[in-house]
Amino acid sequence: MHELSIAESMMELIVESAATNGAERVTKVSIVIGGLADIVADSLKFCFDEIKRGSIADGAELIIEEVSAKAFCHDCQKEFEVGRFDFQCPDCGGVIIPAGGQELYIKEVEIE
Amino acid sequence: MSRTIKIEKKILEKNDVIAARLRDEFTKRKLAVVNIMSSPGAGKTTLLEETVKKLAGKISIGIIEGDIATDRDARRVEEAGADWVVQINTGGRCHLEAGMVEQALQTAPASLDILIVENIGNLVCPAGFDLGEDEGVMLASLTEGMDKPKKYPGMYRACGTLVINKVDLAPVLEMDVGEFEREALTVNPKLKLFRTSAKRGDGLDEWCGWLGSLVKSE
Repeated sequence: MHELSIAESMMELIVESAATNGAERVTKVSIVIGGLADIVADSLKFCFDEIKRGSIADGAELIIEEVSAKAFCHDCQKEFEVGRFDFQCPDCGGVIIPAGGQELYIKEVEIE
Repeated sequence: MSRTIKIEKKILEKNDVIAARLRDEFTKRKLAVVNIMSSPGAGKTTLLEETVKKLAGKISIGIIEGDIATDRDARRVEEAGADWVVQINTGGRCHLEAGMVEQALQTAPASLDILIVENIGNLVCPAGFDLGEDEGVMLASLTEGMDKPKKYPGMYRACGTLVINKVDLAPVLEMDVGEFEREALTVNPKLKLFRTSAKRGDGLDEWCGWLGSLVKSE
């Protein structure tokens, strides 16, 4: 349940940005999650809905963009896309080495 | 009138900033730092007790104990002879964050060679929070079953070292430690491997030898 910590950190950045830009309220929050970041989108939405209550982002819609992770094969060096539970090269069955997939950032907020 | 503001900021930026600050502080103190992660009951505290006993008088060891509640683990490693121990109680949080380590570090003596952080027993969340450590160590126990590397790949990928504990139980469990290692290497082929039984003493010389090799001060 580290999604709760993540929702809290999100809220800090949202409040900071809203203050800097003189917002009265935040209506939309767009974030990006990497395919190997071990974050459950539904759980994060649930936590954010709790955290946002009574804040400047009360009622804000959370848009989560999940981006796929790249990996390359330890044996044949081929590059391909992977999910969290992929462990083998689709071509040769070799061990895969993920490259990235840990993204976790706020892309933008919509304010009024 | 609504308008869109670009932010493009990492959500855990604050943790990363503190972790970077900690890394500088560790370098300044010539302090080697390992972050031990595992599921609850894998034997982290027992391994640390035996580690401290073995290295007492040779290397100065500090330990930060992370637990949701109680100071049982801190008392155990203190009794075993750790030079400096701090208990962090997260009160429900499932992982340690860099800020908690930074605060705990304030009372650490300058003479420490190694700082071992025992994270909250959990195979998911601790992997997401950088504590500024030199090495993430995953402690698995044979009793958990060898399906765990593939069920919790995030943790196995986040760590550079895997210690498989409770190997004394292999005959009773009818398990092959080598097969566990092969499963783990399928998830992360770069893992350094150790086999231990903290209770019986197997593999402790190799494990403690490696820890000793991390020491930065002359």
